[in-house]
Amino acid sequence: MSTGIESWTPVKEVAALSPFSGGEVLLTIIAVVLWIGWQIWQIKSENRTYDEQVAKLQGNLPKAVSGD
Amino acid sequence: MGYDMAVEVSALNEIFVEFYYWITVPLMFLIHVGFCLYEVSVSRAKNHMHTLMKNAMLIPVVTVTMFLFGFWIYFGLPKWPFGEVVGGATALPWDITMGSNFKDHIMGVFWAAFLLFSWTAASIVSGAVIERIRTGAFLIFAVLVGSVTWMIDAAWGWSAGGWMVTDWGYHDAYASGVIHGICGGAALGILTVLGPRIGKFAPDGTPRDIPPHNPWLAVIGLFIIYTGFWGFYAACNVPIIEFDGLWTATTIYGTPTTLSTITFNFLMSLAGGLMAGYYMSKGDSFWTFSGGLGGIIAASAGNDLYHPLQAFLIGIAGVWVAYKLHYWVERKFKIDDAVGAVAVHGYAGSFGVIICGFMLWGYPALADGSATITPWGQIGGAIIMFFVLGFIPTFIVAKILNAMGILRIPKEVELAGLDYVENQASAADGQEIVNAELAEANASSSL
Repeated sequence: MSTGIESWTPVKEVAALSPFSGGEVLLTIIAVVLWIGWQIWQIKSENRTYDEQVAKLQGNLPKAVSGD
Repeated sequence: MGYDMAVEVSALNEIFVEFYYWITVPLMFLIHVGFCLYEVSVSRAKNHMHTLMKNAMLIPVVTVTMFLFGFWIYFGLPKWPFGEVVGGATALPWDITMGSNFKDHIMGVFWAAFLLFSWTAASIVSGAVIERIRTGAFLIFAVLVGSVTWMIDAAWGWSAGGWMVTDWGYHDAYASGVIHGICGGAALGILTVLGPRIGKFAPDGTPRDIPPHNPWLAVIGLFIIYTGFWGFYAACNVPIIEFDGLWTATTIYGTPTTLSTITFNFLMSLAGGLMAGYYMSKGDSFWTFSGGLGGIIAASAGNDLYHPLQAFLIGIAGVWVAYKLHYWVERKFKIDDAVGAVAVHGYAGSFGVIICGFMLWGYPALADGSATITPWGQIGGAIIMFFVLGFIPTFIVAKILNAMGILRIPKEVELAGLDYVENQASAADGQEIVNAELAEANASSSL
């Protein structure tokens, strides 16, 4: 059983060093989904944070601005 | 096995080139350290951590997107849209060159060098928009500028095969327009829609100064950017290559230069910029150090060929233009550029691209002499960098994000400070610890 390379010789015949060579397209799809998903999550999370912050500041704003 | 001198020299050269580029990467890391320092120092205390996190988080999103598609743009689009998409799968994430493999030793190092330019590109934009942009919106701009528009301009104007180079003779050896012009334009596009910070302009339109929280740390940040800039300059060169029977360094266009030339000119344009910044601002530390950066940026397009005293004078002139334009635009259009990024990068960079066309008029833009540097090629290039690929894309995206209500932070949050909730929680935690310590002290003293 091997996930990739079984021998380092002859080294000139070695190409991909990483395991599971040939699965790069699948890895790309996973990475794209993670990247876009993360950006969407970040925007939603930030929106929620600001909503909570605005609620906390209701009636409190002059004190907050003056640093009291 | 016999000794083959040619093979030995070739192997040695390859290893040297790999190491040369690799060492530019940690040097360029310093640019980002400097940007974070100076951006946080310019922000007010109530916005520090948000400012830092906004800039820091561009690193993962730009890195991932540069891997997924940004680097491919450089290889694929040098002739687009007037010619075909080329390069095939080169630099696509599933291509063998974009992984750990024994058939290619250097692609990852080249990718990293371009990636660090990408971080810089996004970071230039970051400083201009602090204290009122949402992090989520900024990170979309970071991907747009860091992994798309600057890579398109690099393909067009910073590659021996790019159509701006082959057709217009565009020359921009150390990226006056390719990085700085486009990022200044991009920052201006966002600022136009984003609007100024609350309180920046008096009711009669007079701009108010919002002083940096920590002026000396801001200039230390700029000092660190200078240091990282050496890595940037080194990464723009091919360090050693045979050119017409001579071993020499070349620019990214394959035209000859020497490390001596760029060392002279980097330092002389820095000196000119510092002197001009000091003179224009009457010794203001922030503008003096920004002037140093602006001086280098203004001379960068032709710093592969200028005489050191020419670089010095161009550094002075570029900073004069940038400083004057900054305050004129601020007053005329009510643009609040918190760190002067549009001026230092956009105006000084565009000036540098244009002046290069006059200074190097008639020089070969390519090693084979098939294209020639001209003022109109450079003026056209400056317009493409600043407006077409810089201003317009971010302006459009800013309009869309603004319409969706996710461009600017709520007014209440801006007034109280982006770190308000965290600061309140931190103060409460601190007080809880003090109370616990007091209780312990009282219990101990009653024993």
